[in-house]
Amino acid sequence: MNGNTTKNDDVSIVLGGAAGQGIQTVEQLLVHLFKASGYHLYATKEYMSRVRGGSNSTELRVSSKPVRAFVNRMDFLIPLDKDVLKRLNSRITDDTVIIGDKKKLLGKNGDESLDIIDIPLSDLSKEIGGAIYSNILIVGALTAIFNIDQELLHNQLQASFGAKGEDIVAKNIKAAKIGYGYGQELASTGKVKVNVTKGQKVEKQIVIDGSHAVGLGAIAGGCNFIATYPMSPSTAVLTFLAQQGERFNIIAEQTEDEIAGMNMALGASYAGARAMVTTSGGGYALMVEALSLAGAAELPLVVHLAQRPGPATGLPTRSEQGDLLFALYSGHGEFPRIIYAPGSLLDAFELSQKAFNMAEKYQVPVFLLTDQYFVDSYYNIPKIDVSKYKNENYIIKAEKGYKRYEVTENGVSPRSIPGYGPEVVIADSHEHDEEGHISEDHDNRIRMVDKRLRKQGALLTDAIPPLREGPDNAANLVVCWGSTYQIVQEAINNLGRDDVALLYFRQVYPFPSNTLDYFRNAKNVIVIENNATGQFAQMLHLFPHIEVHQNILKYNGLPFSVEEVEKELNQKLK
Amino acid sequence: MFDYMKYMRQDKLPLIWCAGCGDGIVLKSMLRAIDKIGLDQNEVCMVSGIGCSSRLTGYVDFNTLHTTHGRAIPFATGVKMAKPELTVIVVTGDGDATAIGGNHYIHAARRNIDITVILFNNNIYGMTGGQVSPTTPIGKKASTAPFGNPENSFNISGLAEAAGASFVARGTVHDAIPLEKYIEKAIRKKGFSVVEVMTPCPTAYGRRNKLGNGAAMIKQLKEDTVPLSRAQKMSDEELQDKIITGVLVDVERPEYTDNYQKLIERFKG
Ligand SMILES: Cc1ncc(C[n+]2csc(CCOP(=O)(O)OP(=O)(O)O)c2C)c(N)n1
Ligand code: SF4
Repeated sequence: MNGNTTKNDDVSIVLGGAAGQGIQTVEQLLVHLFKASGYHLYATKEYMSRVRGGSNSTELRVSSKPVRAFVNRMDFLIPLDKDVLKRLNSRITDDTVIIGDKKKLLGKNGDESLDIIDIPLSDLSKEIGGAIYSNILIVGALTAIFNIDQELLHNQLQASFGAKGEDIVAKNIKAAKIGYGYGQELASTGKVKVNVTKGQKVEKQIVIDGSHAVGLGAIAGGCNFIATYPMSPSTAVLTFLAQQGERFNIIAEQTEDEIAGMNMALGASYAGARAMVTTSGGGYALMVEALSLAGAAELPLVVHLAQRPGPATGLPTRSEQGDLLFALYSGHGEFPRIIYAPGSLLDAFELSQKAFNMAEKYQVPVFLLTDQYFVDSYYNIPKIDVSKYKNENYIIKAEKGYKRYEVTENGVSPRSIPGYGPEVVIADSHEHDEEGHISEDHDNRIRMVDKRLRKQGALLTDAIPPLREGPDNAANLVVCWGSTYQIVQEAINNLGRDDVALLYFRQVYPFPSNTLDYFRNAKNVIVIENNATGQFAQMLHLFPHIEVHQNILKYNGLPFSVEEVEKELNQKLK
Repeated sequence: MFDYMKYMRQDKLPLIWCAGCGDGIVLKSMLRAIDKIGLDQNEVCMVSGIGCSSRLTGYVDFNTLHTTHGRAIPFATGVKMAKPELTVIVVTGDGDATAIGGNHYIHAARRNIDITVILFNNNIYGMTGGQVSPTTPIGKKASTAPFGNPENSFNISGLAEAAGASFVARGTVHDAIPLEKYIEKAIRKKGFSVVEVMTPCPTAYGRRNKLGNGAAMIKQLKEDTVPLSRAQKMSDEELQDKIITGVLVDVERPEYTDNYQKLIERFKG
C-alpha cells in the first residue's frame, strides 16, 4: 500500500482482537452510527470458543447500496493486537489499509513490509484512563473517515455509557474526539478516502441479526413458550425471548438439559401453547426422542436448529450446514415434518412466523435450520409491517364424542386441548386409536400410520417454492439453500453472465410438487453447500430425482465468502 | 517452590481462563494433591465434560479425555470399570455435572464407583456467556434470567451425600490449603468422592450481579465461609447464604468395581 488510498462505495472494515478486548462494543457502536447516518451496512463475526483471549474478528461492510454477504476482502483492517495480523495475514493485500498502534503491532521483530497507519492507541488510551479507550479512539477515527456527525457519536456514547457515570462518559467522548482528530487528518490529507454515499431512508430502517429475525418471527407467529438448554450458536433466541417475555407474554424456561426442554415444550404444546425450542446439533441429538413423541402424539412444535460443525462438540462457535439430513431423518418411526432454511433476514422472520402456523395447522414439527454465520450476521432492512402477518387459530372445542385422532381425508384431525370443551383430550406415545387409547390392533395401526403420513402430502399445499433469479433459459443453474443464499447471489451478480441462474430453496423439505420444473432447462446443475458431503444435493437426487452435475462444498468451519464462490463458479460454469 | 510445570502440557499454555477466574487455583491445588499422593502421571486418567472448567484437561499431562457436555461421569465410569487400577478423576462444572449431567452424577454416587469428582461450582454457565445454572442462587441475574432467577437452587454436595457418595467435601478457592487436603483425601478414598469447590466467575456472573472483580469475589467467599464445626452450632437462619466448608461425608461403603470383581470371582468359583 502506498499510503494514498481511495476506496469505492462499498467498504469492508475488519476489526480484530482478543475476546474481552471490546471489539463487540466497537461493532455495536459502529453498526448503530453507520445506520443512523444513512449508510447501508452489514456485519458478521467469527470468534473462538473461549471467553477471554484468542483471536476474533468482526467484518463491517459500509456501502451506498444494500450489502448482505461476507466478503474476504479487507479494505480496512484494524488489529488490536499482533495475533490478528498473523491470523488474517492471508486476507491482507496491497489494497488493505491497516490502522493501528504501530509500535504494539510490529514490536521488535514485526513484519516491516506491512505499512501501518499509526495511531498510538496504547499511549493515548493510557492518558485517557485505560486500554479500553483504544476502542473508542478507533470509533472516533472511523467516524471522521466516514464523515459521521459528531453529535450523533457523542449522544450514542452518552446512551451506551451513561449508566456508568458522567466521568466514564466524559472519558469516552474525549477518546472519541482524539480519535476523530486522527481520522480527520487521514481524510483531509487524502491519505485515506472513501466514497460511500447515503442510501434512501436507511436511517429509518432497522438493523437486526439472524437470531433476532427468528425471535421476532416467533413473536409474530404467536410463540408464547420456549423451553430449552443453552447451546452456541442458538442461545440468543432464548435470551431474546426471555427479555421480551414480559411484554409479549412468553414463558421462557432454561431447563436442566435439552431432553427436558423439548419435552416441556411438547407438554406446553399439548396444553395449547405455541411452543418452540432453540438448540444446536449436540443439543438436538438429545431432543430427538421427544421429536418422535411429537410425531406420535401429533403435537405442533417449532425447532430452531442453529447448526455448527460436529461431530460431537466439534467447533462450538463456527458455522456449517451439516445437520440437514440429521433433521430430516431424526426421530425413530415414520412421521411427517417440514424443514425451512432461511437465507435472508426477512425470510427468517417470515418463515419463523409461518412455522408456528404450519405446526398448528398440520400438527407436525417444523424446523428452522440456520447456522452460526446466519444468526450472527446483521444488516439493515425496512421496518417489518407486522400487521401483514396473520395467525390462524386451529384449536377447536372438544364437544361430546370428540376424537383427538379422528381419521380424516387429509390426515389432519381436529385438535383440541385439555379443559376446552366438555370432552377430555388424550395423547399417547403408543400407537393409539382415534380417541387416543392404546391399541395393538394391526388394522388400526395401518389406519393411523396412513393418516399421519397423509399429512405429508397435505402440507404440500402450503409449500414454499424455491426462488429463481436469472434468465429462464440459463444453461447453468446454481442451487443453494439457507444461509448461503445472499453470498451466492452477490457472487453471481458480480460474474454478470447471462447464462447463469440461481435457485434458492428456503423450504428444503418436503419439496414442492413442481420442483422439477425449475431444473428443466439447466444443463449444468451446481449445488453449493457449507458441508462436506453435499447433503442437499443428495436430497435433490433422492426426492425430485434431479441430476446434480457439480458440487461446491466448504467445511473448514467458516462460511463461504463472495469471492470464494465467484472463483469456484468460474471454474465450474459451462 | 512446587513445580507445577512437571504436570503441565507447556506447549498448550497460556490457559484460556479470564483474569480473576478461580479455576486456576483449583488446578494448582489438584496438582499438589496428586503430587503428594505420588501418583505416576500415567496412572491417572482425567475426564472432563464441556465448560470453562472442563477445559482443564487440555493442559495437564495425564491420560485425558475431554468428552461431551454432561457426560464426563458415565465416560469415567466406563474407564474405571474397564481398567480399575487407574486413578480416575473427573473435572466438571456445576452445569456440566448437575444440570445436563445431573442424572449421571446421582447414579454414580448410588453405584459408589471409585472415581473422584472435582466439581467447580461458579454458580453460572461460564463458557457460554452466563446462563443460569442449577446452583445460581434465587434472585441472581443471568442472561437467561434477566429479571433475576426465579428458581430454587441445588445443594450439590447434599445431593451427592443423599445419593450415596462415600466422601463429600466442600472447599473454596480462598482456602487453597484445605482444598488441597480435601482433594487428596477424595482421591485416596475408595468409593465415589466429590469435592465441591466454590470458585468465582467474575466475567459471566460477577459482572452481571455487580459482585466486583475476581479478588473481590474471593474475599466475599472468605466472608461467607463457615467451617463445618462452627456450622453445626448455628441455626438454619444463620446459615442462610453461607458456604459450609469441610469434609461433609466420609463413610465406608462397598465400592462398585470391588463388588463387580467379587461377582466375577464367585462365578469363576
Ligand atoms: C448437548 C450440549 N448442550 C449445550 C452445550 C453448550 N454448553 C457448553 S458448556 C455449557 C455450560 C457450562 O457451564 P458449567 O458446566 O457450569 O461450566 P463453566 O463453564 O461455568 O466452568 C453449555 C451449556 C453443549 N456443549 N452440549
Ligand atoms: S467465563 Fe468465568 S468461568 Fe470462564 S474463564 Fe472466565 S471467569 Fe472463568
